[in-house]
Amino acid sequence: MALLRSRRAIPYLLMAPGLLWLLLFFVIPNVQMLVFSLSEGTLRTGFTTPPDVWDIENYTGSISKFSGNFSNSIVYGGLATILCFLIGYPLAYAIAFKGGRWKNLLLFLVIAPFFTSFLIRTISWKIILGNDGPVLAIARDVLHLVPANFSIIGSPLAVVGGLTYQFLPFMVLPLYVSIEKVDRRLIEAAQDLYAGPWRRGGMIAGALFGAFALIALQVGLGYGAFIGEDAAPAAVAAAALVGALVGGLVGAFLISQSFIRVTFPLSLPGVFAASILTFIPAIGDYVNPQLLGSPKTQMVGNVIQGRFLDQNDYPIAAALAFLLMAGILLAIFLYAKLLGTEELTGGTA
Amino acid sequence: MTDLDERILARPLTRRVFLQGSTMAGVATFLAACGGGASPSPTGAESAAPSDGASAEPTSGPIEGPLNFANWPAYIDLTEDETSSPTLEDFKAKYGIEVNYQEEIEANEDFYATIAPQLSAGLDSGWDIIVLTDYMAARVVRAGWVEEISAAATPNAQANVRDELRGLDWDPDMKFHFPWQSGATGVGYNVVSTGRDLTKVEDLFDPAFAGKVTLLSGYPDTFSLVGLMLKAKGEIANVPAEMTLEDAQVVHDFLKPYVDDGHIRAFTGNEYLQDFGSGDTWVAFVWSGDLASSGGEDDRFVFPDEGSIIWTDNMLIPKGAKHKAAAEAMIDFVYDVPNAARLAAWIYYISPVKGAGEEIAKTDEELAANPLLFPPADVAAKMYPQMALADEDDIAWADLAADLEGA
Amino acid sequence: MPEVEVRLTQVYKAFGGDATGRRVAKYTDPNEAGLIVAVDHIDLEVQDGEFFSLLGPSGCGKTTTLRMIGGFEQPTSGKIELAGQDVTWLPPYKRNVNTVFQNYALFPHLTIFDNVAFGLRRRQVPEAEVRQRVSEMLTLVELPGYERRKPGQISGGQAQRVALARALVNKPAVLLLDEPLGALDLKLRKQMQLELKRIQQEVGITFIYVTHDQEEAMTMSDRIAVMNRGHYEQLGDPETLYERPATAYVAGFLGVSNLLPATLGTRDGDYVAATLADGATVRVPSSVVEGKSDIRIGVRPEKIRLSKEGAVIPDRMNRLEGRVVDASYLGASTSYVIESKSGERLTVFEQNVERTSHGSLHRPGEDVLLAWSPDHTFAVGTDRAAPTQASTTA
Repeated sequence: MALLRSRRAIPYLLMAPGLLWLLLFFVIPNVQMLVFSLSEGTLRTGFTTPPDVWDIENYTGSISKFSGNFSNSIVYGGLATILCFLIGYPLAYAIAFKGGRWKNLLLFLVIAPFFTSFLIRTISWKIILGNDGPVLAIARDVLHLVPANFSIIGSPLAVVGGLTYQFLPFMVLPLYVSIEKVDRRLIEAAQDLYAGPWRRGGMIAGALFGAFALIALQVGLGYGAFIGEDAAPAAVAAAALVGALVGGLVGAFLISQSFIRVTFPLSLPGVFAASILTFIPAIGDYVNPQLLGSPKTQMVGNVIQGRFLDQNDYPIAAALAFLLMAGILLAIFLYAKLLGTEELTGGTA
Repeated sequence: MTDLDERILARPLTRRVFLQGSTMAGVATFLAACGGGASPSPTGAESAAPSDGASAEPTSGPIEGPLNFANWPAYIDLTEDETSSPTLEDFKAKYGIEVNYQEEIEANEDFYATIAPQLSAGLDSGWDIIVLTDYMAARVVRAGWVEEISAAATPNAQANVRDELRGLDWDPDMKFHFPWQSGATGVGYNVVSTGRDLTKVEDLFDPAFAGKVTLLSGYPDTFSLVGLMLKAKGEIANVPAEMTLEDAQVVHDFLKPYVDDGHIRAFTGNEYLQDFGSGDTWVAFVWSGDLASSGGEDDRFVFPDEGSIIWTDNMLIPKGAKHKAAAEAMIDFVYDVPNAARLAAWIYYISPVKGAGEEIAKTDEELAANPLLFPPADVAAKMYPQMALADEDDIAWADLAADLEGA
Repeated sequence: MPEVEVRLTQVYKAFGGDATGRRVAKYTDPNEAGLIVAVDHIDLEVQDGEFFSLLGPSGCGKTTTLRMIGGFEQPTSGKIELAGQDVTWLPPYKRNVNTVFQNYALFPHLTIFDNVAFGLRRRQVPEAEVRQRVSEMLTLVELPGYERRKPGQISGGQAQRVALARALVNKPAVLLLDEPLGALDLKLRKQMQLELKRIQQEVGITFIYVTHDQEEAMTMSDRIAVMNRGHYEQLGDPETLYERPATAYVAGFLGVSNLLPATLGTRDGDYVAATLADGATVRVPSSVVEGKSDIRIGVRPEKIRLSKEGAVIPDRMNRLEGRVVDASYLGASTSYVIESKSGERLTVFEQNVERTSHGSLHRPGEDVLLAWSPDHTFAVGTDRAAPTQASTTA
């Protein structure tokens, strides 16, 4: 009986280190933060904590006071995730399907940036997008697309671009794993069952994405402000047209029915995992807006960082952190509902 | 208008160059050589080293080690091979005690957060000397979290601290602090990008520089300099140290439109150096010495006509320090003029010690004439200390700054 | 004469380098070093409505041949026609051909219904018709009521039927089956063989069936091409292949055979005399030795009658003396290993009809006489390994 009992205890023993770890470094700090988030005061003046005070105002006040930062976070984090997906999916697909013996090298190259510190990578982006950097050198000095005083640094696009770059590996790796798992014979089976090119659908999807991408590019750069309010609508329309044309062509010729009907649906669990892995750190980031953005592009992470480290205003910082966490959980929940992960994995079998 | 870079000497190693990170290995070996553990060990159980006893004072007890000294990175002299500090070695030799010197302080607020819990609870912070910038030093002194420095134990310091650094309202009689080094905040610009020489804070708001201007994050530097500009225009009445919350609101309201229309692109720390390098910043508030030692050849620093900000990093002895006598011995040691001169020549900031310039001039005329180390009289006359705010005011001011910075 | 549904003309397929060639063990082209030849200049005609099998061991090129017909590979040279149309370079989705894949390749994310409807929907068949045809097809494969399940929720045999239904519902001109029963256990496999044959007869579609299982091929096929090293050695109906194997390879691949070196002698009517190693002379039908000089004669083990030494054998029978080396009781029959005077070993199966209740009729060490009809004698060339370019149609 004792033996039986001890055997039953084994799984719990195996879990114990992990649970203890979570308790120590996740549960306790979070409870602490929760207490802070309902407290009053600062590090200097000292805190009045529950149950003496329940300062809900930390939450309600923060939502209105920092609504701009919240919307920046959601918009930039969301855009970065979409961009990561648009760049990452073809990349993961190419590595998985066409990588051949270069697969491992290509995967290594995808994660290679991780060997450099996050900060250094962001700073190097600053140089690339900078006034004397190669991007502006081409767009401004060679192509004359933008005026002389045009600046990418400080624009929302620079922040979104930085986020996209930083978190691309988080998108590519899970996607690669799920695409790689797709049985090639299923694709042959689809082709055998008359799944050919996806001309019409691909054209429409490509055109929509292309138009969206170029409009986002323009608006994100604040291009309108440089060419004047009057010319802005025309420029947006032109961008949409160019984007739709290019996207439509790409979509019509590169997307096949077997991809849309088989490969893509089968990789959806990877898409789900990858976009969550990308979105969560992206929405909470503060380094990219700090280094690449302007005061108008600061995200919630910057407020939290500032409140915690500079102003030592723990209650507001903690409340913001919880609001961000709640927002992320809500977003994941809705996303899971939308994608229906259970359906994707082939049911209970 | 003081065009400095012409007169800057090419030093083998300056604090800011050091900060660029090219010699991180050197820092590591240096720290290893310092012999201290990763954290201070204020046990006091170690046997008292033989001391010369000369400067020991009854209230402070005998000079015992190890001295736990927290300072900013690259803020002490190093030997050629960067493995040890001559100043610290001499100190150790003189008093026969160990020094646990740690480059622990990266930012005032961050370091404050690490010591505040112990000090507010009346516990020993583990440090014997800490180095904080004016406003933070004032905050800690006002909180009563520091030991009084024995005048009898620090004769050199009492005698040699420069006059303009005395009489601060938060410690008028030099009972709780002595300056470590000082520096100035002024206007930096790239002369090729701006196409002209700048002389004033007001030049930052020239529409031609739209989107290419950065200010310093936090209120102490930025609100002080803009305050000086607004004072010159008659819009506020007070010098920085006396600015009121209403004055701060005026500064905020002046800056806000420039932030909103993108004229001011960012609020930064040290990273303005990269922005100057990449051409994204043409004009900015910068700390003296940075552009001169680490900027490009077209980057200039000026002490603006409206006045510049002088700030000081100050040595403090935290309440309950276990080796107070050793800390006082160290404070006095670095106020000994030859020691001070050696430190100043290496650190490349403004020495708080009278006679350090003359001492340097004995060996290096050119360095002694460098306005970054030894500002000329007309510049020195227009140097103002930052405001040192009480806690309630600090929160309100920080909120104003945060609103401008968008976070 | 039935119409030709699939025609392969001099189809040749070689893979370059070992990166791709590793997929199947192939032999290298003597003419082009480094090339790995999968299919070596095959000519093939499959008739409309025929159940045609490509039989051979792994690496013989049968699957590559099938994949070229399906459009998943392109031949290096040669031509493939479907119902008279050249489809050599058409992609799979443009060919009126469907495939039942090894391991079924059902779409795991779709229901059984959607799996079966996949091809119809890609061809824009109206939804009402899709529904009708899918349910008809699921009835044909005896899986009505499974529409809403996912592939992960059905058994291997059921998955096999779904795969079949998914292909057949499109009414292709030709159905390609790539070892479709390979993953099933023996009992289910036997059952499915009969089922497949029934369905094929019911729908009347041409089946091209790839297998390495000779029994499977024999059971179902109208004609079989026995493949070896990129080409086929012999093509014919199962009976011809068994009774008259043209090469030692075919003789060995289909069942057990006894092959004895022989020297051809004079022709006597429909037969040719052949002298064996131990001096015995046997008669061989002249049709099987046509065009061959160096031969081995063959006879299937069950065609041989054993009798005690000195028994009377009719003159028209071929005969051979030997000694029993081994006897194995197999239930319905007994398997003997007999050594001839010249040292060759022959296998003989004898039905246990006349068997007494006390042991074997013949015991090891016993001298026996072997007798078989000249009509059951076949002949193969001596060089077992040499691939022949000439196609041997029945």
